[in-house]
Amino acid sequence: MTNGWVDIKNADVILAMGGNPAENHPVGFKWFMEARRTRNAKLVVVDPRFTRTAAVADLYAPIRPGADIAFLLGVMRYAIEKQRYHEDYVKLHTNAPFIIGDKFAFEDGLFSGFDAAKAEYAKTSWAYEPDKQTTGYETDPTLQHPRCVFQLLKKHVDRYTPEMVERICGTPRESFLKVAELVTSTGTAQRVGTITYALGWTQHSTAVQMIRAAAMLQLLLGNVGRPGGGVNAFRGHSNIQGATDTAGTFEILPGYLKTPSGPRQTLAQYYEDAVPTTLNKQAWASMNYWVNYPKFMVSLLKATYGAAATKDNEFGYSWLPKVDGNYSWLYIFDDMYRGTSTRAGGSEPGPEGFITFGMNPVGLGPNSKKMVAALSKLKWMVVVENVETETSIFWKAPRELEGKEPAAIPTEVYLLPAASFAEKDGTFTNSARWLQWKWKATDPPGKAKSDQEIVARLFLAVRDLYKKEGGKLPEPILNLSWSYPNPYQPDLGEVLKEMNGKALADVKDEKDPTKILRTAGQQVDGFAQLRDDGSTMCGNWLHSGVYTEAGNNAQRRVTADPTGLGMFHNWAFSWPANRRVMYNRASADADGKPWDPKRAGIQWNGQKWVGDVPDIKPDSPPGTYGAFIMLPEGVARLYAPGLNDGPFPEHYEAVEAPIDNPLHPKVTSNPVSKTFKNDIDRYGKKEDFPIVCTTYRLTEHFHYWTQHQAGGRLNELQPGFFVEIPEALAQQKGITNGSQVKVVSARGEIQGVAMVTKRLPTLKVDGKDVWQIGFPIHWGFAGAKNHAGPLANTLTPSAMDPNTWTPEYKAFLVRLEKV
Amino acid sequence: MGNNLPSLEVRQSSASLRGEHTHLRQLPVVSKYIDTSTCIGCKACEVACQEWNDLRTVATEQVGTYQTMPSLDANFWNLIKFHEQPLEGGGLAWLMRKDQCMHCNDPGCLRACPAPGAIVQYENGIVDVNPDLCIGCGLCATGCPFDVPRFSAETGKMSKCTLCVDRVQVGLEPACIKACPTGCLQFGTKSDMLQIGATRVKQLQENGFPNAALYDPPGVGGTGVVTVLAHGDHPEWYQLSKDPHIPWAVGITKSLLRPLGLVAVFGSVVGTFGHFLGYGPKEVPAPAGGAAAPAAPPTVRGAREDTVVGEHIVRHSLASRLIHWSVALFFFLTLLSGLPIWTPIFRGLAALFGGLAVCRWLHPLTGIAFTAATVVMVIYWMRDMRMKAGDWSWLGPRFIDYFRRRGEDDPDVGKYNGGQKIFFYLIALLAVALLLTGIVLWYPLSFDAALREVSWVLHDAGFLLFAVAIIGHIYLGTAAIPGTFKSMTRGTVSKDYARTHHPSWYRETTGAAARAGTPAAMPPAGPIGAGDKPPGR
Repeated sequence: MTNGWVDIKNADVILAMGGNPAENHPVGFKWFMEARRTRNAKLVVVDPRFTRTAAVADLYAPIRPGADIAFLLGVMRYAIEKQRYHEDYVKLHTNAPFIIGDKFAFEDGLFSGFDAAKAEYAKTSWAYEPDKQTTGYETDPTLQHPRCVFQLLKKHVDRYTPEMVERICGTPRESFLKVAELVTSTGTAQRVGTITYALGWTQHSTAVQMIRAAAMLQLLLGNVGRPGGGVNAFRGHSNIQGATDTAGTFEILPGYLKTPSGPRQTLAQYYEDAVPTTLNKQAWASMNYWVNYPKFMVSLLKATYGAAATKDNEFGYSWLPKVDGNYSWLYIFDDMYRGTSTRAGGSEPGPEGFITFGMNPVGLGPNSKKMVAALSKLKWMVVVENVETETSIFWKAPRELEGKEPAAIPTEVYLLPAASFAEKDGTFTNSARWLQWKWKATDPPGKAKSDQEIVARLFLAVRDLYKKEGGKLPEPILNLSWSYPNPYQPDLGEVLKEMNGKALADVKDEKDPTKILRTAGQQVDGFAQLRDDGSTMCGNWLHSGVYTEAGNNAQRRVTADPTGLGMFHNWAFSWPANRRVMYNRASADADGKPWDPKRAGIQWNGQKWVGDVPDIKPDSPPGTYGAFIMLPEGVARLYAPGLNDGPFPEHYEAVEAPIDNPLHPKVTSNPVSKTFKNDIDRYGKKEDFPIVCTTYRLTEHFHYWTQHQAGGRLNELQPGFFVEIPEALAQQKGITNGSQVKVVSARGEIQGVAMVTKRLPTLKVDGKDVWQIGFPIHWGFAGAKNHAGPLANTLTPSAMDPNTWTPEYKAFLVRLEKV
Repeated sequence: MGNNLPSLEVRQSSASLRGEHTHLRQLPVVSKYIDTSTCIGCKACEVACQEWNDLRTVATEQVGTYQTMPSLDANFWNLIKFHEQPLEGGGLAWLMRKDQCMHCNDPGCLRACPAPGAIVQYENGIVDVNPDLCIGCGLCATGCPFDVPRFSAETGKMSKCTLCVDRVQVGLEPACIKACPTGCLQFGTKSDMLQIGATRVKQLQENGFPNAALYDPPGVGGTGVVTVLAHGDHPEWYQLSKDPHIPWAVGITKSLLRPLGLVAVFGSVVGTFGHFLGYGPKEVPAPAGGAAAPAAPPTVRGAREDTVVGEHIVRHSLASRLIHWSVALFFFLTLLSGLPIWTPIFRGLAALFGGLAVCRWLHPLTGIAFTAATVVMVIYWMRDMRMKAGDWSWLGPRFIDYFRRRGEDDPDVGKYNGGQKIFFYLIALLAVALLLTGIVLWYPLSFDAALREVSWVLHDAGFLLFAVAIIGHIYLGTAAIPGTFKSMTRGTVSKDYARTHHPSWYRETTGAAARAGTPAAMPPAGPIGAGDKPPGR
């Protein structure tokens, strides 16, 4: 979230799209209701299903799964056409005035630079037009230049008329216009709106562009950086935010630093790629905060390799693994399945072993058959879990998943019992980026151990082997800093201190070297005190400030709120720098006055910025720096030349779609989305599978965990798998409520109880009736006996977004049969 | 549940004879507040209720709905009811309403409950059940306008939401309120909740819900749950009744039949005494010729009915008498075990059986035995009970004449007179009616509410009619007509008795011609209903 949970109460309009917060985030959802009750805020829900959120919304509009970009671009078109955007904000805080180079083009669904053979874009043609006099770029403050971002955007969205939105999304024109009018009512200084989303946007082959579209809309409306505004992602787990912050995926190191790649063998080469050049042509200078990158990187290396990291060995940079390709987990499973890895030229064998911690790939991966088949080819697998999951007993998979006979599977499986969340302490980082400490409630049962103990014991055993036997490259292991008082069971407070960072030598003020900010050994106050000379260490610069000399700030529970806006600065710690609203410089105008004095984010008082922790140099007067300090332009991007699938979002159909793309039938789906090519990676055609299907979660269940609660209450609240079917479709197929139905996709079939409902509308899409059905994901073959059920992902496709490689769980094609 | 918590004063209690309301501890009336327009149906309240009240998990199955189970359960007191409602002019409403005990200001369950103290209403308006005193009769379910009380299969006791009285009385909100994440549930004094509700309703009315309303039905004096309905003109969409009232059966049985019945029963007893004082016993006139009174009747065990034994005629064989006394025995057991359930005036009688809870299971069993015995009796006596031409006149003036000992006697009265026959059929009919209605009351949850109500009223009315009839029967069989009682103990009547009360039967059994000189003032028949038996058995 750019903002926070409590902040939602400050909104005038809340657009909930690509998520069902009432269902999946019921506790945080209280702030939606608070906004409605206390300030008469309007809640708008755009969703394929009439959800629990829709049940309490002021306005609901149906939409076909996967058509969200068309809808959002339609709203942008409406805002521009009707002059319902926040013009001052757009000119001041976005790259709308920037002029794009004349090589940029968009034709027939393809942006310039498309390489059909690789199915990738070369992004060079998307760049800004260089200014002939300076190192900066051309701008037109009047927004009239035909190649300025604003005009290009206007042209790009012009195709998304209400009629086209209706044709693509199936949203009735009147419903769309009502939503557009309400949402764009916040395009003024006096009003603010927020957009919330969750996995309904992230799990598409066009996911990142969907979220980009929302961000662009919010920028047009001037809602980013303001209390009550922002683009707010609701995370799917209690600590998924913390996991992502701490290198949750292969391409990032802690704090979203980049994983080094093969060609970047030295720190200098690495920085070339990682540290952006400041672009200073616009009205204000760009602070380009990433120039501090080396401080964060060196501090991370110091935290990783301790005393072994020295200036002479580039702080151990060479010991970091360098990636040579895509190691996103579906690619690893693809290697596993094929038994070979093609990344480094095709000669490498695939993985022979697999350790999985708190992850159940057989349950949550797309195309479950492939998951089971892939694991069946391993020599060994270690599952660290608190229950026996589908993954740990993949060899017992039911017949419909086409698993082999257990005797024919060579995989030796080890299940290490792990403590559950209540059986260990540590922090949860919530969607609002708050690191909140939790205390252990009870000891783990039996021989179950905490995660850190399992990791520590594995590491120490491996290190002993390296010590004894040596190896190809022992240094990364032997030099790894492991200075915990109890090395077998590192205290998580110690780990959090390490992540916060500390001074290894005296840290001096950069402006006044006589002033010592931190003496050697002291915890740093925040990432501003980190240095690139090896005098500081920090495990995650973004979390720096969480455990200072004042103590463990994640444990703070002060309920005072002087802002009155629900910021609660002394409750826990919010990254970055305890800031509650990101980009909050944009909550004020050119003079530093808040757009809306009643909802001031920060404001300039003549000497400094006051209010929230400012997202700008605190003593820099208005006009010194652009508001978006993390971007080299210093302003927000309505046009983003960095993504893999285009600088503007464009509507592409899902990889499996019921129609051809009405805008450009030859380029129906995202041309750079990723799919796999094995026999088992099947994709269905609309002729064979005419019904659109989506998957989701239920408030009563927690992922694949609740089904393990034998005799538990939650299972009784939602006792089993079901398939939601629109009334008219059920009638047509002779399906009655509560009867058994079969759902078939190109990848498999599952059976369950029909839930016939009025909540799934029939949509008129591109002139034809399109049905949509859906089912929740919570069951599998590993649950308590009477709570087991079919694996939803038996049916989902392994098609992926080209930026995040997240699978398209939310829109695929099926056939429905009465049993 | 909270019955043993001393700090809450009881405002009213089920089946109590007088108020227990001292007003010494005035407390504000409390209420839940449910804003259905901000409820997301997350079921946190359901779990909180289960956890706090330590209710066991109820097994459910997926039948095609988000709703946890079809309706409340003895172990599930708080259920969100889901309903999909298409709206006029397009659009859909997915309504979710938390269902639980409404804690009526005028609780129908409490009024219907026959067990003293089993249901109480505290000073603060909370309606609570005391399982120790509950007899599991199910009348509360019939009395409830909201279909709330449920019966545990394990304990046989009624259970329902207590409004977490144990929490409330120490200043905490109920568990459901505590768990609610959206704030759609609140708790406080009723006046505060009404105020919050009014504000919210106004807001809804200004935001596209012109019919928004607060549900606090006056028919039950208001409830301890005030509910905001965006579609206030359609409470039925939320599975709430439009204008709930305590079912009419409660009023009829408790406010009409009970006083009327008491008056009728006591009136009948007093009336028979009055009659006796006014008219005295109906003696058999001394036989002409002044013969001595016949000798003590012989033992007639084994003798056939309607045969002459010396100066006596066998009126009732041993079997006949045993049947009669079985009917009588089971009748009294049923009556005595039923009376304390009927009204607390007779609560003392429950002690005869070991308490009211014993009465609750004993009463239906003796009732079945009573009806069974009656059926045997009906079959056994049917032949003698065929209605003849003149018998129907007993429904009219003849009965009055009989009552006032006036008018002509009827020389054709056989073994039974018309009044006896009508009585016979009346009790046969009543016995069957009491059994049928009794079965409905016995297993109240197997029948729908309307049938339960009708049965309840009929059962009460039927037994009162029966009681009045039986009082008359006993009077006539003992004090009013001497000799009758002996016919049911020893089995015989004197020839004079027979000649006097049943002249035709006398002639048939003795072969004698009717004497012409029977005094005109002679009452025409024997006691109503004294059990007789047809000849030839």
